[in-house]
Amino acid sequence: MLDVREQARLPFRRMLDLCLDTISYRLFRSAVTVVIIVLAIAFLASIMVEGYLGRSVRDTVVGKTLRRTAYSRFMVRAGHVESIESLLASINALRPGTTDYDNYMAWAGVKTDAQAAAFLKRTRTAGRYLDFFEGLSVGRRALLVRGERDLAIFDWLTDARNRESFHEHLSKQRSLKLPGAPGEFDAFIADWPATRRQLEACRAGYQDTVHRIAALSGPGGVGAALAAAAAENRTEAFFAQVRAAGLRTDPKEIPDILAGIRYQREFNWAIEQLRKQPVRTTWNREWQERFSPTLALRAAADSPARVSWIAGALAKGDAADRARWEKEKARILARTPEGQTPKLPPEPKSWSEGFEAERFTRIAREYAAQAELLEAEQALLNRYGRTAGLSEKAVWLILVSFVVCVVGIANAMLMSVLERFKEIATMKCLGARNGTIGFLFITESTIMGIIGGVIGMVLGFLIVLGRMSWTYGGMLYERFPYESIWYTFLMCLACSLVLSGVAAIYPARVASRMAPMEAMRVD
Amino acid sequence: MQNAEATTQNGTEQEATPRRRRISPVIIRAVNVTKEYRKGDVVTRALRGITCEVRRGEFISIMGPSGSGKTTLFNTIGALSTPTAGRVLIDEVDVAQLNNDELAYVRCKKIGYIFQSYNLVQAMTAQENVMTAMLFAGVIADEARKRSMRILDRVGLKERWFHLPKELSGGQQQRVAIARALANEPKILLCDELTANLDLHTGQEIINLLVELNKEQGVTVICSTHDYRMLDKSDRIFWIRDGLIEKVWERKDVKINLGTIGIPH
Repeated sequence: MLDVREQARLPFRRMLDLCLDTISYRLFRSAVTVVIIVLAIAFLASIMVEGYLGRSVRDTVVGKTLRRTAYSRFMVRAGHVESIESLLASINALRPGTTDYDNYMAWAGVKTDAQAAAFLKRTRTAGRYLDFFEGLSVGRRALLVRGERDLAIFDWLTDARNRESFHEHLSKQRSLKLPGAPGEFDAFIADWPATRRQLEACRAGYQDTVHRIAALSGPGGVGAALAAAAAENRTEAFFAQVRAAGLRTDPKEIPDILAGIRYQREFNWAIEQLRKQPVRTTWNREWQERFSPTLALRAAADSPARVSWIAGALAKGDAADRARWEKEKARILARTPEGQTPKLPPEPKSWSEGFEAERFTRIAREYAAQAELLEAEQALLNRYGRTAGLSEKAVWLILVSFVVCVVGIANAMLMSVLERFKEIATMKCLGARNGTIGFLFITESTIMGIIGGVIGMVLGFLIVLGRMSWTYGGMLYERFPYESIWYTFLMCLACSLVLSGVAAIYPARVASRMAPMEAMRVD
Repeated sequence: MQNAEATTQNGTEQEATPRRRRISPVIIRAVNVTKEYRKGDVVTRALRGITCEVRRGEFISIMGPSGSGKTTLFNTIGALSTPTAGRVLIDEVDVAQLNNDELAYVRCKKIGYIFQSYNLVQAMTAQENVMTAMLFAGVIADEARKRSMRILDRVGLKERWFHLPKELSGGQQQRVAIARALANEPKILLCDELTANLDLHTGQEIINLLVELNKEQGVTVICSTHDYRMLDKSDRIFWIRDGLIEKVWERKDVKINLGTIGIPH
C-alpha cells in the first residue's frame, strides 16, 4: 500500500549541513558544549602527554647517569656478595644477551639455553610467589605461614603438614588468591628444594668470584687495584685477570668504568679537602649553613668566592698552626736547660698543601652536574614510576572527568532539544522520520565533540609542553616521544567522539519521540 | 464506538454530500473518529465520533470555539496523530494502521502544513527551509535547489531566497512556509490559523495566494480559522462543537458581508 522505501534517507552530507547551520546559529549554547568537551579532553591529553614526556625525560636522564651505573655495577659485582633474596631479584631482572646474564648463568653452573630457561622459569615463579607473600599483612602472614619471612617461607612450606595448614587457612581468606593456575603453587613448592639448591650454587659461584678478585686486587680493594692498573696503563690485563676470576665485563662498559673510578678518586680528593679541620669548623660561621662535605662541594661549584675562601681558610689554618707551633717551640726552647736536646713538638702538617683551586672547581662542577642529574632522575622516577601506563589515580580522575563531561553535554543537548521542540516537530511534519531526527542530534553532538576534542588535545598538549620545557628545557626534545603523542591525539579524538556520542543518546531519544503535534503549539 | 450522536452525525453528513455540484474523488474520509487523551485517571474525549469526507480540490474551513476539538480533528486528518478509534483514510490509506515511519511518509508526500507562527527553521535561509522538506522526501540536492527556487518564485519571494527568517516580514515568512508546504507537491494543504499573526492587508494577500494555488494546482486546502475572509473563499465550512461536527455549511448558504467588517478596499 505504502512503500516507505521510496522516501530515501537524508544523505549524510545534507545532515552535516543541517547540523553545522544549527551549531553556528546557536553559537553560545554550542560553545558551552564544546567547552565542556575541551576541558575533559584537555585533562586527558595533559595527563597522557605529561606521562609520555616525563618518561622520555626520565629515560634521557637515566641514559646520562648510565656511566655511573656501569661503574657501580662493576664495583658491586666485584666486591660484594648478594643475599639470596637479592640474588633472586637480580636474576629475575636479568635480560638475556647481557654480560650480567652470562655472569649469573656461569655462577649458577648453567651450560645450555634450555637449562637457563628452566632455571629462569623457576626463579620467576619463586619471585612471583615471594611478591605475593611480601604483600600480605603481618597478621595474615602470621596466620598463614607462622610469620616466616623471605625464602624461608618456601622452606617452611616444604613440610607437608605445614602446607596443609597453610591451604586450610588460605581457603578461609576469601579475598586472597594465590597467583597462577590451581595446583601450580604445590608443584612449585615440591620443586622448591631443587630451586633453592640452584640458587645457593649460584651464590657460591658468585662468592668464589668475589674472593678471587679480592685476592688478586690486594688490601686496597678492587677500586684501588683498578685505579693503580689505570695509572700504569694495564687495564686490559686487569680486566683479563678479573675475567679469569669469574666476572665478565662488557668491553663497551670499560671506558665508563674507568671514567667512573677516575671520577670517584677525584671526588674523594675534593671531599678530603673539605673535611680538613680549618674548613670544617669555620664553614658554618662564614656561610651561615650547615656543613656537609657534599653540600659544600655543590655550593662551591658555581661560586669562585667559596673556592678561594676554602683556599684562604686552609692557608689561615696553616698560619695559625705554624704560629702556635712557633710559640710552643719558643716556650719549650726557653724552658729547656742548656746542653739538653729540647723535646720539640712535631712540625704541623700543612693543610693547604696540594689544594688546587682549578682542580677543585672542576670536580665541584662535575659533581654538581652529576648530583643534579641524580636528583632529577630520582624525582622523575618517583613521579613517573619505573613502568609505562597511567597510574590508577590518573585513570580514576580521567573517568570522573568523563562522567562529568557526559552529564554536562547531555544536559546542554537536552536543553537544546526542549528549546527547539517546535523546530523538531516541524521537521516531523515535513516528513522527517524518528530515526532521522535522532541521528541529526547525535551528529550535531558529535561534530561539537570533534571540535572540542581537537581544541582540547592541542590545548592540553601545549600547556604540558610549555610547563615541562620550562622545567626540563632541552632535555625534553632529546627523545621526544612522537609516536606516543600521536597515539595520545588519536585516543583523545576517539574519546571525544565516544563521549559526545554517548551523551547525545538520551537527548536524541527525547527528540525523536517528540510528537509532531507540538508544532501547532503557540507560545 | 457507535453511539447515538455519531449516528445522527452520519445522517446529516450523508444528506449533505449528494448536494455537491462538482463531483471529484474523496481524498480524506473520516469514519467514526474518536480521540481520547489520558492524563492520569482523567480521560478527556476530544473527538466523539466524527464522520466526514473531503473531496479533492475542495477549500474547507474548520471553525469552532476553543476546546471544541478543532485542533484534534485537524491533527487527526493531518496524520499528525492516530485516532483512538475509527478510521481516517487519507488518499485511501488508513492512517490508524500506520507505524511511525509510514506516518512520516504520508506527512512527507501527501500533506503540506502551514502554521500560525510559521515555524521556519531559524538557522536556515528561505531556500534551505524549502529544500529541507524536499530532502526529507529523498530528492537529490541539486534538483531540490532548482525546484525550491521555482516554488519561491511562485509565492513571490524569488529575490529574497537567501534571507534568514528573522530578516523577513511576517507575510514573507508565511509565504516561505507556504512554499515549504508545497515543496513535495502535496495533495492536501493543512493551514492552522495562518492569518492570525498577520495584519489585514498581508492576511488578504496570503489568502489570495492560497486560493490561487487551490484553483490552479487543484490542491485540497483545509484551514482552521476564524477569519471571515477565509470563510468567504471556502467551499464548505465545518462547525465543530464538543468533539462533533455540529453543522456543515455550503458557501452559498452562508451570508458573509465583508463590507460591514470594514476592510479598507
